[in-house]
Amino acid sequence: MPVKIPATTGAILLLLISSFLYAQQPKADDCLPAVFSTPGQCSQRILGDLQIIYKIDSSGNTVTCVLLLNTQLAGLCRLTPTSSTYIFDLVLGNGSAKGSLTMFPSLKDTPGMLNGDISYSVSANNRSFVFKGVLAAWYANGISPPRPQQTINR
Amino acid sequence: MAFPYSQTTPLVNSISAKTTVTLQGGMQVATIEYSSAAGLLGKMVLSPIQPTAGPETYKRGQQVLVINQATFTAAQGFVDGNVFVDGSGTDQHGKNDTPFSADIADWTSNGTAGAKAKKATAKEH
Repeated sequence: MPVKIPATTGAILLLLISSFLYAQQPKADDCLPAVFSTPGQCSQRILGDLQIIYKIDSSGNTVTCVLLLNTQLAGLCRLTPTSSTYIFDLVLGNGSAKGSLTMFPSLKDTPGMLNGDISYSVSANNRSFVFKGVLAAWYANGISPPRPQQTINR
Repeated sequence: MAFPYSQTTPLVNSISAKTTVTLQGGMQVATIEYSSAAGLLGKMVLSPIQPTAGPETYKRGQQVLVINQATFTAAQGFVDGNVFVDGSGTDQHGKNDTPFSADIADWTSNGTAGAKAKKATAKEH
Protein backbone atom coordinates (compact mmCIF):
# COMPACT_ATOMS: atom_id res chain seq x y z
CA MET A 1 0.00 0.00 0.00
CA PRO A 2 2.69 2.60 0.84
CA VAL A 3 4.13 2.11 -2.66
CA LYS A 4 0.80 3.01 -4.30
CA ILE A 5 0.47 6.43 -2.62
CA PRO A 6 3.40 8.09 -4.44
CA ALA A 7 2.21 6.58 -7.73
CA THR A 8 -1.31 7.97 -7.30
CA THR A 9 0.03 11.37 -6.21
CA GLY A 10 2.33 11.38 -9.24
CA ALA A 11 -0.54 10.61 -11.58
CA ILE A 12 -2.70 13.35 -10.07
CA LEU A 13 0.17 15.85 -10.29
CA LEU A 14 0.80 14.90 -13.93
CA LEU A 15 -2.90 15.38 -14.69
CA LEU A 16 -2.90 18.78 -12.96
CA ILE A 17 0.22 19.95 -14.79
CA SER A 18 -1.03 18.81 -18.18
CA SER A 19 -4.43 20.45 -17.69
CA PHE A 20 -2.66 23.64 -16.55
CA LEU A 21 -0.46 23.60 -19.67
CA TYR A 22 -3.51 22.96 -21.87
CA ALA A 23 -5.31 25.92 -20.31
CA GLN A 24 -2.29 28.14 -21.05
CA GLN A 25 -2.44 27.43 -24.80
CA PRO A 26 -3.82 30.25 -26.92
CA LYS A 27 -7.36 29.34 -27.95
CA ALA A 28 -7.77 31.29 -31.13
CA ASP A 29 -10.15 28.60 -32.38
CA ASP A 30 -12.75 29.67 -29.84
CA CYS A 31 -13.96 32.54 -32.01
CA LEU A 32 -12.28 32.46 -35.42
CA PRO A 33 -14.15 30.86 -38.31
CA ALA A 34 -12.41 28.20 -40.40
CA VAL A 35 -10.78 30.38 -43.02
CA PHE A 36 -7.18 29.22 -42.92
CA SER A 37 -5.71 27.15 -45.74
CA THR A 38 -3.23 24.37 -45.11
CA PRO A 39 0.24 24.72 -46.69
CA GLY A 40 0.99 21.83 -49.04
CA GLN A 41 -2.64 21.44 -50.06
CA CYS A 42 -4.64 22.83 -52.95
CA SER A 43 -7.51 25.23 -52.31
CA GLN A 44 -9.62 27.48 -54.47
CA ARG A 45 -11.77 30.57 -54.57
CA ILE A 46 -14.49 31.09 -57.14
CA LEU A 47 -15.43 34.63 -58.14
CA GLY A 48 -18.04 34.50 -60.89
CA ASP A 49 -16.44 33.27 -64.12
CA LEU A 50 -13.01 33.27 -62.47
CA GLN A 51 -11.71 30.30 -60.51
CA ILE A 52 -8.46 30.80 -58.61
CA ILE A 53 -6.76 27.54 -57.64
CA TYR A 54 -3.75 27.97 -55.39
CA LYS A 55 -1.22 25.75 -53.70
CA ILE A 56 0.80 27.09 -50.81
CA ASP A 57 4.28 25.64 -50.47
CA SER A 58 4.82 23.77 -47.19
CA SER A 59 7.29 26.51 -46.18
CA GLY A 60 4.49 29.06 -46.43
CA ASN A 61 6.64 31.33 -48.62
CA THR A 62 5.66 30.34 -52.13
CA VAL A 63 2.24 30.18 -53.76
CA THR A 64 1.48 28.67 -57.15
CA CYS A 65 -1.76 29.86 -58.75
CA VAL A 66 -3.79 28.66 -61.71
CA LEU A 67 -6.50 30.98 -62.98
CA LEU A 68 -9.38 29.47 -64.92
CA LEU A 69 -11.94 31.51 -66.81
CA ASN A 70 -15.16 29.64 -67.53
CA THR A 71 -13.33 26.40 -66.58
CA GLN A 72 -10.50 26.97 -69.08
CA LEU A 73 -6.85 27.81 -68.33
CA ALA A 74 -6.20 31.54 -68.66
CA GLY A 75 -3.51 32.48 -66.14
CA LEU A 76 -0.59 31.01 -64.22
CA CYS A 77 1.66 32.44 -61.56
CA ARG A 78 4.24 31.53 -58.96
CA LEU A 79 4.53 34.05 -56.18
CA THR A 80 7.65 34.18 -54.01
CA PRO A 81 8.87 36.74 -51.46
CA THR A 82 11.05 38.33 -54.18
CA SER A 83 8.37 38.29 -56.87
CA SER A 84 5.20 38.62 -54.90
CA THR A 85 2.77 40.31 -57.31
CA TYR A 86 1.05 38.93 -60.40
CA ILE A 87 -0.78 41.42 -62.59
CA PHE A 88 -3.25 39.98 -65.08
CA ASP A 89 -5.81 41.00 -67.68
CA LEU A 90 -7.58 37.88 -68.87
CA VAL A 91 -10.42 37.40 -71.34
CA LEU A 92 -11.95 34.11 -72.52
CA GLY A 93 -15.23 34.09 -74.39
CA ASN A 94 -17.68 36.20 -72.40
CA GLY A 95 -15.62 35.90 -69.24
CA SER A 96 -13.02 38.40 -68.14
CA ALA A 97 -10.88 39.06 -65.09
CA LYS A 98 -8.48 41.90 -64.50
CA GLY A 99 -6.37 42.84 -61.52
CA SER A 100 -3.57 41.57 -59.37
CA LEU A 101 -2.63 38.91 -56.83
CA THR A 102 -0.13 39.71 -54.08
CA MET A 103 1.41 37.23 -51.67
CA PHE A 104 2.64 38.09 -48.17
CA PRO A 105 4.79 35.25 -46.82
CA SER A 106 4.06 33.62 -43.51
CA LEU A 107 6.23 35.11 -40.77
CA LYS A 108 6.99 33.80 -37.30
CA ASP A 109 3.84 35.10 -35.65
CA THR A 110 1.63 36.28 -38.50
CA PRO A 111 -0.23 34.23 -41.06
CA GLY A 112 0.75 34.31 -44.72
CA MET A 113 -1.75 35.97 -47.01
CA LEU A 114 -2.79 36.02 -50.64
CA ASN A 115 -4.42 39.34 -51.42
CA GLY A 116 -6.48 40.06 -54.50
CA ASP A 117 -7.63 43.20 -56.25
CA ILE A 118 -9.78 41.81 -59.01
CA SER A 119 -12.56 42.87 -61.33
CA TYR A 120 -14.40 39.74 -62.48
CA SER A 121 -17.30 39.09 -64.82
CA VAL A 122 -20.40 36.99 -64.20
CA SER A 123 -21.52 36.50 -67.79
CA ALA A 124 -24.61 34.49 -66.76
CA ASN A 125 -25.87 37.61 -64.93
CA ASN A 126 -24.67 40.14 -67.54
CA ARG A 127 -22.63 41.80 -64.81
CA SER A 128 -19.15 42.47 -63.55
CA PHE A 129 -18.09 42.83 -59.91
CA VAL A 130 -15.02 43.79 -57.89
CA PHE A 131 -13.14 41.88 -55.20
CA LYS A 132 -10.56 43.60 -53.01
CA GLY A 133 -9.23 41.75 -50.00
CA VAL A 134 -7.75 38.54 -48.68
CA LEU A 135 -8.26 35.49 -50.87
CA ALA A 136 -6.41 33.09 -48.61
CA ALA A 137 -4.50 33.00 -45.33
CA TRP A 138 -2.34 30.27 -43.82
CA TYR A 139 0.00 29.40 -41.00
CA ALA A 140 3.30 27.61 -41.54
CA ASN A 141 6.62 26.83 -39.85
CA GLY A 142 5.18 24.79 -37.05
CA ILE A 143 2.81 27.50 -35.83
CA SER A 144 -0.47 25.80 -35.07
CA PRO A 145 -3.37 27.29 -36.99
CA PRO A 146 -6.75 27.71 -35.37
CA ARG A 147 -8.74 24.51 -35.82
CA PRO A 148 -12.42 25.18 -35.32
CA GLN A 149 -15.04 22.45 -35.40
CA GLN A 150 -16.96 23.57 -38.44
CA THR A 151 -15.38 23.23 -41.87
CA ILE A 152 -15.99 25.55 -44.78
CA ASN A 153 -15.31 24.15 -48.24
CA ARG A 154 -13.12 26.46 -50.20
CA MET B 1 -29.95 25.29 -39.99
CA ALA B 2 -33.14 25.37 -41.97
CA PHE B 3 -31.53 25.96 -45.35
CA PRO B 4 -32.52 25.37 -48.13
CA TYR B 5 -35.23 28.04 -47.92
CA SER B 6 -37.82 28.20 -50.67
CA GLN B 7 -40.44 30.84 -51.48
CA THR B 8 -42.74 31.25 -54.46
CA THR B 9 -44.12 34.71 -55.24
CA PRO B 10 -46.50 35.65 -58.05
CA LEU B 11 -45.15 38.51 -60.17
CA VAL B 12 -47.66 39.73 -62.80
CA ASN B 13 -49.85 38.11 -65.48
CA SER B 14 -49.58 34.60 -64.03
CA ILE B 15 -45.77 34.72 -64.06
CA SER B 16 -44.32 33.54 -60.78
CA ALA B 17 -40.86 33.51 -59.26
CA LYS B 18 -39.59 30.67 -57.11
CA THR B 19 -36.53 31.51 -55.03
CA THR B 20 -34.50 28.74 -53.41
CA VAL B 21 -31.71 29.73 -51.04
CA THR B 22 -29.10 27.09 -50.29
CA LEU B 23 -25.89 27.16 -48.26
CA GLN B 24 -22.86 26.38 -50.41
CA GLY B 25 -19.57 26.40 -48.55
CA GLY B 26 -21.06 28.71 -45.93
CA MET B 27 -22.36 31.08 -48.60
CA GLN B 28 -26.03 31.81 -49.24
CA VAL B 29 -26.82 31.16 -52.89
CA ALA B 30 -30.24 32.12 -54.29
CA THR B 31 -31.58 30.46 -57.42
CA ILE B 32 -34.59 32.21 -58.95
CA GLU B 33 -36.83 30.37 -61.41
CA TYR B 34 -39.32 32.43 -63.41
CA SER B 35 -42.20 30.41 -64.75
CA SER B 36 -45.57 30.87 -66.40
CA ALA B 37 -48.39 28.47 -67.26
CA ALA B 38 -46.31 27.41 -70.27
CA GLY B 39 -43.41 26.33 -68.09
CA LEU B 40 -40.00 27.60 -67.03
CA LEU B 41 -39.02 30.94 -68.55
CA GLY B 42 -35.57 31.38 -67.07
CA LYS B 43 -33.23 31.05 -64.13
CA MET B 44 -30.92 33.43 -62.27
CA VAL B 45 -28.30 32.63 -59.66
CA LEU B 46 -27.38 35.28 -57.10
CA SER B 47 -24.96 35.18 -54.19
CA PRO B 48 -22.64 37.55 -52.30
CA ILE B 49 -20.06 37.19 -55.09
CA GLN B 50 -22.63 37.94 -57.81
CA PRO B 51 -25.28 40.06 -56.08
CA THR B 52 -27.00 41.53 -59.15
CA ALA B 53 -28.23 40.19 -62.48
CA GLY B 54 -29.85 41.62 -65.58
CA PRO B 55 -30.98 43.03 -67.91
CA GLU B 56 -32.44 39.78 -69.24
CA THR B 57 -35.41 39.09 -71.52
CA TYR B 58 -37.26 35.77 -71.53
CA LYS B 59 -39.88 34.86 -74.13
CA ARG B 60 -42.19 31.92 -74.47
CA GLY B 61 -44.73 32.15 -77.28
CA GLN B 62 -46.15 35.66 -77.16
CA GLN B 63 -45.38 36.11 -73.49
CA VAL B 64 -42.41 38.33 -72.67
CA LEU B 65 -40.73 38.75 -69.29
CA VAL B 66 -38.11 41.46 -68.86
CA ILE B 67 -35.93 41.56 -65.75
CA ASN B 68 -34.15 44.90 -65.65
CA GLN B 69 -32.37 44.07 -62.44
CA ALA B 70 -32.43 41.43 -59.73
CA THR B 71 -30.65 42.30 -56.48
CA PHE B 72 -29.57 39.96 -53.69
CA THR B 73 -28.82 40.69 -50.05
CA ALA B 74 -27.56 37.90 -47.81
CA ALA B 75 -29.15 37.42 -44.39
CA GLN B 76 -26.75 38.37 -41.66
CA GLY B 77 -27.28 38.98 -37.99
CA PHE B 78 -30.56 40.83 -37.42
CA VAL B 79 -30.99 41.76 -41.08
CA ASP B 80 -33.05 39.42 -43.25
CA GLY B 81 -31.77 38.38 -46.66
CA ASN B 82 -33.84 39.26 -49.68
CA VAL B 83 -34.12 39.18 -53.44
CA PHE B 84 -35.54 42.26 -55.14
CA VAL B 85 -36.55 42.26 -58.80
CA ASP B 86 -37.44 45.07 -61.13
CA GLY B 87 -38.97 44.48 -64.55
CA SER B 88 -42.17 43.88 -66.47
CA GLY B 89 -44.18 41.04 -67.96
CA THR B 90 -46.94 40.60 -70.52
CA ASP B 91 -49.81 38.14 -70.54
CA GLN B 92 -49.78 35.03 -72.75
CA HIS B 93 -50.99 37.06 -75.75
CA GLY B 94 -48.11 39.51 -75.47
CA LYS B 95 -50.48 42.20 -74.18
CA ASN B 96 -51.07 44.05 -70.91
CA ASP B 97 -47.40 44.69 -70.22
CA THR B 98 -47.31 45.24 -66.46
CA PRO B 99 -44.34 46.50 -64.48
CA PHE B 100 -43.21 45.16 -61.13
CA SER B 101 -40.57 46.18 -58.66
CA ALA B 102 -40.73 44.17 -55.49
CA ASP B 103 -39.12 41.79 -53.03
CA ILE B 104 -39.80 38.22 -54.11
CA ALA B 105 -38.16 36.40 -51.19
CA ASP B 106 -36.91 37.12 -47.72
CA TRP B 107 -35.31 34.84 -45.19
CA THR B 108 -33.48 34.99 -41.87
CA SER B 109 -29.87 34.01 -41.22
CA ASN B 110 -31.21 30.70 -39.85
CA GLY B 111 -32.79 29.92 -43.19
CA THR B 112 -36.38 30.38 -42.03
CA ALA B 113 -39.02 32.71 -43.51
CA GLY B 114 -38.26 36.39 -42.95
CA ALA B 115 -40.60 38.92 -41.37
CA LYS B 116 -42.14 40.03 -44.68
CA ALA B 117 -42.70 36.46 -45.91
CA LYS B 118 -44.34 35.58 -42.59
CA LYS B 119 -46.65 38.59 -42.84
CA ALA B 120 -47.63 37.59 -46.38
CA THR B 121 -48.58 34.06 -45.32
CA ALA B 122 -50.47 35.38 -42.28
CA LYS B 123 -52.59 37.58 -44.61
CA GLU B 124 -53.48 34.63 -46.84
CA HIS B 125 -55.02 32.69 -43.97
